[in-house]
Amino acid sequence: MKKPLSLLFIVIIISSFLTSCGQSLSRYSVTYTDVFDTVTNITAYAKSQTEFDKAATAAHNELLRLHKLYDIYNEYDGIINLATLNRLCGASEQKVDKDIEYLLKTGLSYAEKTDGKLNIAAGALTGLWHDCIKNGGGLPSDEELYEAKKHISYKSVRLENGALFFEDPDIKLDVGAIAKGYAADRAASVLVSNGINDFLINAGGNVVPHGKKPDGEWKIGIQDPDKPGGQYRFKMAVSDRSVVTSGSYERFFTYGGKTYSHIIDTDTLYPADRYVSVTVLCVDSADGDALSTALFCMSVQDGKALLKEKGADALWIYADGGYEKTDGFKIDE
Amino acid sequence: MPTEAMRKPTGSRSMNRTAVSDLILVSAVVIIALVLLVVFSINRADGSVFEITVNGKVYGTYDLNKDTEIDVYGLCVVCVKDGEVFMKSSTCKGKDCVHSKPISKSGQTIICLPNGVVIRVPGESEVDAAI
Repeated sequence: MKKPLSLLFIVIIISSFLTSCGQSLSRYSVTYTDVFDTVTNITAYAKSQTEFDKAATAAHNELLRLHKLYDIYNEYDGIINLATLNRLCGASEQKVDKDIEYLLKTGLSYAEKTDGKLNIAAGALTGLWHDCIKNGGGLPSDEELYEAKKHISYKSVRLENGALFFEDPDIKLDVGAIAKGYAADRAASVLVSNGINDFLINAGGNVVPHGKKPDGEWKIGIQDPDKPGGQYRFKMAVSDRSVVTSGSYERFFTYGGKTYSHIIDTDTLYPADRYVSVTVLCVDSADGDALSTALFCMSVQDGKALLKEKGADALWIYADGGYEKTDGFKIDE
Repeated sequence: MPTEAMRKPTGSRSMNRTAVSDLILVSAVVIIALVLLVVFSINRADGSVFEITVNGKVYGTYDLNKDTEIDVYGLCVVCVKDGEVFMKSSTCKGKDCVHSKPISKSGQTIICLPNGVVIRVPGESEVDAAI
């Protein structure tokens, strides 16, 4: 009688030990380099590597799908993406995918709100600078810039009942300023629907936190513009709001000893240089992405008014090392 | 009630035996648990290895404390020296990866975006995301 009891005892102890091992969550991480021309990292707590891989792969597939949909440089078989629409919508009206419609509507509403500071119809202008960055050649000439300026009015973009048409045939859409934020939000939904609740997505400066770490809140480091790579100017804990940074030190190009950011001010027609970086805290990462780009080209005062409207907060870092922030932007130290 | 029946006292001799054997059993389980805990925590200790992935697929895991050079599909050369790893050369245009500082701590990465190469020291660093 005693032996079976002891055995039972052993079995119960060991099985409870194994069960607790199986249910405790471990940390997993993966990095993707093939979406939105940036580095995307997913860190999550999951029951097993298999569970994490399944969820992360699903999220990656969603990112790839949106990457192709919002790509303005390449067309793909079987889908009508922005590159296709840029080619066709100057001549005839085209039906658009729901995810394109949503993103364009968001972009156009921000264009209205910011008086074109955030302009998704500025592809003719951003394309000129993009070629400069890509080819490492000289800057665009004034003639080229003024010619481009004639064809960047977001008011020429007509989007009604899921159909898109450009009233100016030379309009080119460029959603680079808002696509990553929206895609990061979507990837987050995919992780949740795959049973992952504690994770952090960082899609090239668009950070979407969800849930918590076993030992507390997610920690974000805002890089020191003078010392990129592992050294942080500020650190902050985040839980329920996305963090989006637009920074000139992350994507830039150098010409004639001067560094230019990748964000083009549609008023000066040149890369914006008011700040080194602007970081926005916002519930929605798509909004955060739009706001950080718009704020990058605005005065702090104008930026604050826009933030208030959206219930968002921001941190501006100047080239001389100084900074400004709204009261709701909490940083450590 | 069945519980009453189970609680019915047995002889004092057999109870002592049960107590002793249970004590041994509990000690054994505690020792096994401790051993497993140590094994797990050793497995989780970070900073001694790093991993190279290419387009999301693992190329290899290497020792940080063994000086070596790794040619990754002719795309780039990863160099390990004095407990640190860095990108020695790369076929990419921007060479951001080559200009990245050597890494050795948990959670640190060096990334070559054009070639899809990621060098990562596994584990958790002081921040979960850098922006």
